[in-house]
Amino acid sequence: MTGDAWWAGVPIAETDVECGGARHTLLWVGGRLVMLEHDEPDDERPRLAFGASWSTCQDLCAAWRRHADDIRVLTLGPRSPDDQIRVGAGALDQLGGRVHHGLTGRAGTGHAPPALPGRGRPPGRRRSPPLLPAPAGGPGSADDALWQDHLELLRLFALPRPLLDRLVLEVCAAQTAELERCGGDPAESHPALLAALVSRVRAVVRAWSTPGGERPEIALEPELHLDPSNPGASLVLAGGDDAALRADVGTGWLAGVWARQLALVDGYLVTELLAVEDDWASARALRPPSGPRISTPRTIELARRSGVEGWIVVRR
Amino acid sequence: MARPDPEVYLRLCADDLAVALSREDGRGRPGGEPAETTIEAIEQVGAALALVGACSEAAVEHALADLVLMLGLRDLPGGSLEPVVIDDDPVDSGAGVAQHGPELVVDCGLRCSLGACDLRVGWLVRTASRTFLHADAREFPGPAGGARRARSGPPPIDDLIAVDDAGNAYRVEWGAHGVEVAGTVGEALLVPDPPVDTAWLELRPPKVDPLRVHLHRAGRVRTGREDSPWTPPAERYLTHLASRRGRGHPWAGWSGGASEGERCEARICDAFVALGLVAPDHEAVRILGGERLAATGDGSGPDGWARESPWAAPAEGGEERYATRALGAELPLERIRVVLEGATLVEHELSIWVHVSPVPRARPRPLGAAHPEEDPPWLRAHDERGRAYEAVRAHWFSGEGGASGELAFTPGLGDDVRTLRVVAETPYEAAWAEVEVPGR
Repeated sequence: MTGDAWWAGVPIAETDVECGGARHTLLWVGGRLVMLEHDEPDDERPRLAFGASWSTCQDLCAAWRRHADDIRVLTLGPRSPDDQIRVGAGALDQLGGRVHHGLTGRAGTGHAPPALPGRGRPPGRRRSPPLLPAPAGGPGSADDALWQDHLELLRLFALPRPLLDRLVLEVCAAQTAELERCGGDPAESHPALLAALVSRVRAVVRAWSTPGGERPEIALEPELHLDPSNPGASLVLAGGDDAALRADVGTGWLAGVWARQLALVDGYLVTELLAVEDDWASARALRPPSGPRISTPRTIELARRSGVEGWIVVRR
Repeated sequence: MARPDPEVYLRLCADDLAVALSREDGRGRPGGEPAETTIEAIEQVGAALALVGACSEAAVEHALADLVLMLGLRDLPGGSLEPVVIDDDPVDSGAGVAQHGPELVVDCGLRCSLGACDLRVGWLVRTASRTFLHADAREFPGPAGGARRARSGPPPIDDLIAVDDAGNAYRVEWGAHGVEVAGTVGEALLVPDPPVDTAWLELRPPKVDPLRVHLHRAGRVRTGREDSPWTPPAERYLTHLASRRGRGHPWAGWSGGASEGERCEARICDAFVALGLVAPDHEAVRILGGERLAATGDGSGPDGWARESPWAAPAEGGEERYATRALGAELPLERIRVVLEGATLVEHELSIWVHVSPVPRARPRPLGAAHPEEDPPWLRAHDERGRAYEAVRAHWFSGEGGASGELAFTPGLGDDVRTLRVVAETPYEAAWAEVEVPGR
């Protein structure tokens, strides 16, 4: 897929936040998180010391931007729709973070207005992995910034799932863009990125090959290869009668297919997104397995489900 | 087929665990293994990959930290939301490691009675920042001649003082030490640390003549590099593990069924094969892999291997034979510094005290009795007649840029053994030292 914005076809999501005694709204639209009741946080404004605060909305938006290219979001984040993240308020309290109660996520069915700008800044280089002090000193110690980095990452994982899914999408897009640009040294993050890719591919193939818990005669052998500019996984799906099919998926599949929740639609395993619009997409996909044979990929068309997250196949 | 990257492999192992735990609703891994057990196995695989150079230590630690946080985010057993410390700097190796550990070891051979114990001092060690005595303190029997009692701490040794050639006096205090029922063994520190230009120290115990110890290098222990045929580190590592298989681990107190250590070893084996680090038909793989669970018994090993404590009481009516010898032998290894500080012989039990720096990282804190902590170097020995001995870790202490402690050799030495060639081996290299048996 070329030419489409990385957020194309991804609906708006929003959540209500308890902020200064009022209910405010955070909205993900057009590939960015925006506040409806506040000014945008200044990207250049330095991170506040631990304990100091902007508004809750500003805190969350700033944290979002800081982690929008953070490979840890992908490394630690959900593998599939069923993979539930459970960051309780109690756990955050215990770690000394300010917890935002009452977040109620809503995924909308609207779409980004064309006039909205894209990302405010290009995805930067991989953020350094957590280099955090031992918790012995606890929050408020001299390592405030490192603690805060950890805590705000946890707070992002505590966001309602539709928003978390969009943060994951942003990270996938940022990582892919970084690899394509190759301005820095992407090799540093390859293993974590490749593992993240393969883990998602495996989860999708697992669900695709065992619908309803049945296990057809299909064996999956993810064959891995490293390409300096496009790390990816080649899947060799082998059925009976020596039927075998090879499908290559690179990191682009993460942002283009998986993070858009297009990886598995009505039993079809989508290997490549060809085009996408707000409510429509076309893709190359493997049809649901039946028996030991595996079909070759075919082009299918998909439409967005009305009022809920997800897609359906409308032409096969 | 292209081989997967070791870090990718490790991360996918972690992913498998998270998936399995999620399916089990957090109660454990399919097959009944508790989560902590499986995390332990992944940790050990990571440590092994780092040890043989397949993966950097920092990469392993990041992957393991991500595993724990990933489980914590899903409220699964073994997980945690706590931040962790990861040092991205590689462990020093090569010339840099020489900054830590003993610079001088000299014989003492002092025995004296203090208030509550019988104290033996085998040798004195000087490092860049410390001076300590190798001390072995046995508590006196109870008032009615009863059995020795377990203490909560070491017996006091402050009746012993030291004085140097300039007239300065020093207290003697326990440093790193191990306490057992029969006694305490470890480092007795001189406080404050004597100046660098100290010529001699006099140990002054009560009721016994002082002992003057001159601080200069004495006899030299012959050392050399072992030029065995080159073997890839991963093969060497597995071969070492395989050589231990079936012998149990007398210090770990394992019991019951196939040990977790063996499961960990099998997983290390699986990883090395999957990553192409060893051939699948390698003999060590056969020993550690497929036959692992069926072949294991109660983990205690063959008869005679469950050795007694080196502090076992002497035979009725007699005093145990006890001898020490300062060695101060630095082995000619390039990637790690290993110094043989000294040797003790208690009856037939030989122990060598070693200092190692740096200690290999990427081996997170164990979560319980599990895979034996066989950090390199691995020590073995053979005597003049070719009889082989193997060392197992007894007391072990960390600090001062490395670790040090006692490696106890088994089986016991025959009366005719005078010299041992002690070989220290890592996955990369090996070196030897000719050690004269103390007291012979």
